[in-house]
Amino acid sequence: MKTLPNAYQLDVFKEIVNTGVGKAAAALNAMLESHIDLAVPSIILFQIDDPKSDLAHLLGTEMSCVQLDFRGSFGGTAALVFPPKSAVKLVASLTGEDPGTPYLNAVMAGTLNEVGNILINGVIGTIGNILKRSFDFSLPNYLEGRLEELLKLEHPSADLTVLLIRTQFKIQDRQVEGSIFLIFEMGSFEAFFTALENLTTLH
Amino acid sequence: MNEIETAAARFSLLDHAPIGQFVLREDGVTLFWNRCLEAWTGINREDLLGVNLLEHFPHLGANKYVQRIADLFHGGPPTIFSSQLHRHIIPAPLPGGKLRAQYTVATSIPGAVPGTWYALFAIQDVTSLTETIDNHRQALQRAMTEMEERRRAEAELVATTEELKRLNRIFKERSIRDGLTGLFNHHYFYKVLNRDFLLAARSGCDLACILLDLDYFKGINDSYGHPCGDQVLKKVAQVIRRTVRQTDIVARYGGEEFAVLLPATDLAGAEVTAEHIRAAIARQNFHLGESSLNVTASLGVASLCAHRPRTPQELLAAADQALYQAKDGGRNCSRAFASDASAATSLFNH
Repeated sequence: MKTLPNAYQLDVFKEIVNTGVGKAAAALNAMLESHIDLAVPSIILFQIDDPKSDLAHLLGTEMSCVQLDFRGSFGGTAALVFPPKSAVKLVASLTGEDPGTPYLNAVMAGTLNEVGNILINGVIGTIGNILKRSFDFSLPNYLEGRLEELLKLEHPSADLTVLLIRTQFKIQDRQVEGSIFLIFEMGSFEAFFTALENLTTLH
Repeated sequence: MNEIETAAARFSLLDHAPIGQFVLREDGVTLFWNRCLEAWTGINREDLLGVNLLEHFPHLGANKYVQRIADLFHGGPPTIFSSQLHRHIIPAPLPGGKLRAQYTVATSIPGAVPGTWYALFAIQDVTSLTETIDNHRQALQRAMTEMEERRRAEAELVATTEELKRLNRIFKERSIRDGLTGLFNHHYFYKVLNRDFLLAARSGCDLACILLDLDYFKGINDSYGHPCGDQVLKKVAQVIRRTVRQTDIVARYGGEEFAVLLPATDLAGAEVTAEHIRAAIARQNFHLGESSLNVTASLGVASLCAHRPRTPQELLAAADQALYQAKDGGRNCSRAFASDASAATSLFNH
């Protein structure tokens, strides 16, 4: 049976996420002419096969997704997921260019890839920095498809645990909601929280 | 072998890729600059390697680049610079002076010294993709604008047509009405008479006609003035309209002359109606300023079955003849066309 992270571990994780998202917000604002607010993220932890999880109602729907795989002392995938309409809204408000269609074109997909990259790097980069671990990273990838295809969840092991970080972008009074999924490989979830535990015992 | 020579040997394969690639050390010194970038920028590696990249491209010293590149030198995750948000990382003019749109991914790669990291930039030229999408979007916008313009033009056309129809209706209505009394005019009366005459002749129904002339009307105009005369005419029109049936056609036939066409009515019925009209007019008090006066009328009646006219004009002529008989009979009375054969013959056999 898997041991769930304790309150200290979760607190450390929350702090890492906050730092990372804050860093991402600063990077976005340095880059963009329009001011972008990133809400303090909420963090949800769930088993992949839990039918009552936040994920259940998203399965089967088409999503726009920016993802990055990481491999090292623990491995997995970080994915920023938007409903396609939100993705178009986000890119359109950042660039001021209305695509005229409800779909992202290749150039806009590149823009979303950059925004996702900044956000994911904020979180993953901060995890690496704080834990002083280095990872191998895949190239960031923009994909569209059903959530379970995107997150490779179609044949999950029953005890796969997913961390869901939910945040909101606010750009010039327009609200765009996005979710970052952190999906750990077998055994990596424990390794990750053990690393956090070691960090907490250090302090 | 120095670091630049080592890099040249290590990255030589990148000279064969159709994407712009260069390698930076943490201090900003360029260690590798591939052939593709030489071609794009016109800057040869001899002029650029070993010096800080900012000397050639100072814009890269902006925070938005420095901050995001910094992590790469510590093994951080790849960083993307999209074409929409940055246009380009390395300005590379095309023939004609336009700059290439670039999509750039910078990744962390191990440095020559273990534990150090370089940043490898890979720049994709997305100019034609960007242009294709722009052209497509412009075409889409043009199409939308044209569609909107067409829709507006069509709406305007519909509005104009509606307005024309409305004016036409008003015009048509005016063309068949007498301006003073609002009754049908002479012209329209003839039109209906012609139509109803043919209908009646074919169906065997009767058709009656009453002609009415106000008695001594010239005297009213002379004593009270034309505006007062007009008031009388308007009132008489109302009285007639009120007295006849809805299906009867009432027209102002001339100055103080009125005509009533009574479809499916025989002579006897028309005589009754004529008498009703005469009595109603005689009863009516006409108030003209402070004075009031009474007016009488003479009426002549004729009908299709009673007098067998061959044309609508003959029916009217018969009614007119009867009207003269009423005038001769002392006015303020109605007469049917004299049915004796000699009169009829003299009337119709001209």
